[in-house]
Amino acid sequence: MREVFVIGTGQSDFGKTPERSAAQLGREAALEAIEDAGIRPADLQGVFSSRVFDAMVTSQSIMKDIGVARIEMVNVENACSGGATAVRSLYKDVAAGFIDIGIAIGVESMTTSPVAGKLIPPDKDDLDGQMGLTMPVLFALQARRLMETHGATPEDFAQVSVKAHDFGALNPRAQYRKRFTVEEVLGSRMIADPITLLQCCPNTDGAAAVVLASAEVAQRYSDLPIRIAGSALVSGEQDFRRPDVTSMPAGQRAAQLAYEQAGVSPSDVDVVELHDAFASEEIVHYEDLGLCERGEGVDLLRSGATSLGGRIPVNPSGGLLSLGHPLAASGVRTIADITNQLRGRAGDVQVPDARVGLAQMLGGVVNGMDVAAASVHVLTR
Amino acid sequence: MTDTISVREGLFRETNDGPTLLAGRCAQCARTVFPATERCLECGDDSIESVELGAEGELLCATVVHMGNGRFDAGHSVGYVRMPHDIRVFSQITTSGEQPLPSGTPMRLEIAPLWREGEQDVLAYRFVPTTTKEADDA
Repeated sequence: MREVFVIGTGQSDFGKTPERSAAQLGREAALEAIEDAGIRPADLQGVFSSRVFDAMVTSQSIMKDIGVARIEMVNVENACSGGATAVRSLYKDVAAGFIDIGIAIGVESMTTSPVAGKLIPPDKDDLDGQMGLTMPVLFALQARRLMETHGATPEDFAQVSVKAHDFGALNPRAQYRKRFTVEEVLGSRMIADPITLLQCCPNTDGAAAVVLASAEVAQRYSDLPIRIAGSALVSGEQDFRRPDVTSMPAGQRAAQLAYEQAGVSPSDVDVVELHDAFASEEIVHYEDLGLCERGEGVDLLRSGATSLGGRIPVNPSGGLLSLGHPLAASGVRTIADITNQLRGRAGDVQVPDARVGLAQMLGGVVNGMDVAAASVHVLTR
Repeated sequence: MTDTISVREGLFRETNDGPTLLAGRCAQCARTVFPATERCLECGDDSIESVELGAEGELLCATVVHMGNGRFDAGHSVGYVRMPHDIRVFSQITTSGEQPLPSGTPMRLEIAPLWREGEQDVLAYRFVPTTTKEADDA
């Protein structure tokens, strides 16, 4: 298997832009990534795109107006892990030698989707969904359990949101560039106890893209290619095998696989971007990613270790909470943000001398499983 | 006359001793899951027997949901209830309290129409606390 490198990243502004089509958003991100890589569109040999809502031939819709045609293009869907799935699919094609260079794109126009302004509706086969298990409820129940078993408080969950918005205020691509206090987060409208509105990620339009290449091609185009040292994608665990709702076993398994492939341990990681659709879940991911021992997630947050300047900054981009969550785009965006951290060009949220980074993304709820899909990529400089 | 339909067949039934949830137990490996599946999720065997879980459970955790979803109004409660065979059931919780019920609250199953679809009431399950003041008053 060949080594694979990220040589270009691109992202549209994240926000509510119903006047722009998904293809337009995707094109903006793709063009930025192509330009960043220093290649010509015609150099691309493969395209993987992901989109959850109203998705059909997304790759072709984006690439045709960039002048890319005829080559293999694939469109994947894996809920919020879709973007990470697109990156991993392209990674496998380059690693296996099928192609030497390609682009992965995640894109979503939530404001023009059928779920604009609504909760994502459950599938008809989803019994728990029919009975009222929405996304906020799922994470609220997990948060309640964190309060019982971990000694977490509503203030802890609010602090995650405060941290995200502190960073998001420094990110010119974020949907919300505004800081909040713990009191303001706790005082916002209650959604599902203990989760308040400012602990929920907003629905967002946006796109992100990365150009991946083999070592030979990467060396030709990039002064500082970032290696994908570990790439893992797993499906969820059947719920009867999950003894504790304060863990997402799929996220834990994906992390273990990616660490093993990369030959790094959690203590080697300098910066993390992860799925924080709801503030409280960040604490769960600390534990599942091995950033601390099981049961010590709350202490890790309170210690300041996951803030900028701490031992292991988490979501210096601002995360889904402030950046917004264009579903399929987020899994690409996290990989792009980690790449930019390792290239030392993360601006005001740069983690000094970051050499190893981790991008995680969870996706989808299926009745009877912890989560539908989980992906972890470990990147190294 | 209003028709009544079940949210899904084979989830529950009324017995002489009251309502019960119905799980599926594998005759080969004894793995028991709710709702029952046609094949065992553990070993793949298709010899699945129906098992009554009864009506008594214990609350693992609950939340009060402050947004309606078209089926349940703002202010409804939901939670996970622990049942026999180490089964965790997600359910609506009947309580007038504004705070989530505490973990460990004893709960009792109730079969009731929970929402309407067209002209039909949809029959499903929910749990009621058995030790709160409102239960004592009932």
